[in-house]
Formats: sequence, structure tokens, C-alpha cells
Amino acid sequence: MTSIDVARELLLRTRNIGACIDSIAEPHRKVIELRNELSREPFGELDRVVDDLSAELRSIEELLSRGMVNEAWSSINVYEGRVSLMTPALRQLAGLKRGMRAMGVVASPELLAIEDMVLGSDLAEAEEALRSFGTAGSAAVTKPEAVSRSEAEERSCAICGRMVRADLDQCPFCGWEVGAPSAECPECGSTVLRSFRACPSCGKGLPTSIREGTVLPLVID
Amino acid sequence: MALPGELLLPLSFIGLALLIIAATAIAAIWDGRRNRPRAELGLRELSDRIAILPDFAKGEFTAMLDDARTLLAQKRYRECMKRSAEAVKGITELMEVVRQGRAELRSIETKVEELRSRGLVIDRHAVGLDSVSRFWGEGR
Repeated sequence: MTSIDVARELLLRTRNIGACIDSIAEPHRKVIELRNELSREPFGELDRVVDDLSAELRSIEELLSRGMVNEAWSSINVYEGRVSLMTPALRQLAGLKRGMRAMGVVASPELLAIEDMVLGSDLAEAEEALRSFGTAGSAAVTKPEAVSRSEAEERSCAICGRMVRADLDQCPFCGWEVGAPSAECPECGSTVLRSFRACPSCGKGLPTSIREGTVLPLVID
Repeated sequence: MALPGELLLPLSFIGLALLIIAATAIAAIWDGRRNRPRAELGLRELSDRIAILPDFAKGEFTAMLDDARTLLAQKRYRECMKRSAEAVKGITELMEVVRQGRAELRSIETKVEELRSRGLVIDRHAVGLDSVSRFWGEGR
């Protein structure tokens, strides 16, 4: 084999490497896109899921860095399939986590266990657990004794009606401040703050008698 | 003084032989004066071109250069020039492929840098980029 033959073969090999590098760009763009999705809903609440999926994306990048483009595409397809299957459960889980955090519960072992189930692809089991947790959770809102906190530590928000910790000065759901003067709307009967000019539920203007004490009297000489 | 008839033929043979010897000597001298500088120039050109060749091709053309030098030493100037010309032609052909290969390699390096700027570091060894860079003589 002469040098020119070697060079021609080498040129062919170099062109193949070039084609391989070209083909890496598209799956890599896809990986970047998938990674960006992890910073959006419902992943924002789910650190462990994000860690797990990020590790999977890193392993896809590892394949790409070694020029294994077909394997990387296969892994991307598997990843997308897995995420699309997980997403409904993840949305539910994220919602529950947000609710729990709003209620002052930082970490719930039940929700962490469900997160593990989702990560372990036990989706049917996770959905079942989410359903039962959701039922227990909504019961907890109407029946404070079902929650781990005692009834004495929680109270119902006068404006939105959700259960909030008794030691909070402000409702984490609607922002109502405890101790702000409230009254009942004569039209729809919902609780309104006395400082309101109109009822936020029915939109009717509130009479002056309700707003008494919060409106400065007009002084006419 | 007339030559005897029987001497005329041998003498003319001797004369012809001397003429042939003289012509050969003159041709050799003329060949040396005219073709030696050309052959030496060809060797210098060949030597210069070998210097810029990638490593994998140097062996083959260095062997051709050595052959041509041997021919020069044997005063076979025409053969030496022919050998040098063959080698130079081969090198020209090879350098065209090398030029294409190096251009391809530079384009690949640009793409690798682009990927790096987007956070993907290519494993140069795994994709075979290290070995081709070494072959083209343009490694990082």
C-alpha cells in the first residue's frame, strides 16, 4: 500500500468523522432543550426527579461526546417516553408538594415515597398512592384532626376558607391578614374585608354600613 | 604515401573504434555538464518537498530520494532525474489529498469548538480525531 493509498483512506476516515461530528449537533440541541424543560413546571418542585433526569441527560451527552449518535437518539427516545409517562403523576405530585409547603409542611415522607415510585417507574402504584394521598389531603383540609398537626394549631382562613397554621399572621393562599376587620357580603354572603369597596366574589358594591370605620367621614361645614 | 591495400580495412576499423570511443567520451562529458546540475536541482526539490510531507508518507519518498542519490553518484543523471520527477509527481498528488484532509480536519476542529462552547466536550480519542490529526500532521 503506497502513501497515496493510505492518504486516500485517511481522507475518507476524516470525512466520516466530520459527518459524525455534524450528526452530533442535532441530538445535542435536543438534550439542551430537554434540560431546559427541567427548570419549568412541574419539575421545579421535584428536586429528586430533576436530579435523576439530569443524570440521564448527562449519560446521553456522554454517548454524544464519544460519537455514539444512534445510541444517543435511542436514549433520547426512551427518556422522552419515560418523561411523558411520568408527567401526569409529576404534575399531581408537584401540586401536592406546593400545597403542603403552603400549609407549612416542609417535607412529607409520603410524597417522597411517591416520588421514588415515579422514579422507579412504578407509575400505577404511584398514581394509586397519589389518589389515596389526595383524598387524605382534602380530608385534612376539611377535617384538621386528620392532619398531623392538631386542630388547635390550625384555623380556617376567613377569606378563602383554607386551613392555615394558627401562628401565621397572613394566609399563605390569599394573603388575608389575621385581625383585619371583616364582614359578610349582603349580596352573596361571602366574607369580605371591611376595607373593600366591592365584594370580590359577586362584584357588588359594599354598603357604607359595612365599610363603617374604614372610610373617613365627609365633613361639611 | 599510399597505404598497402591489406592495411586499409583494419585501420578503418581502428579509426571507427577510436571515433566511437571519442564520441562516447564527449557524450559523457556533455551529459555530465548539462544534466548533473539538473539532477542535483531535482534532488534538492525532492528533498524540500519531503520535508513538508506528513510523517506517514516520508518513508516511501525518502527511499525514492536515496535511490535517486545513488543514481547521481553512479553518474546516471537521466535516470536520476527521471526518478526524482516520479517522486515529485507522487508527492504533488499526495499533497493534494493531504490538503483536502487538512481542510476537512480544520472544519471538524471548528465544529468541535462550537460544540464545546455549547457545553459538549468531544472525546477526541473515542471519535478517532486524535489519530487522524496525528496522521495529517496537524494535531492540537
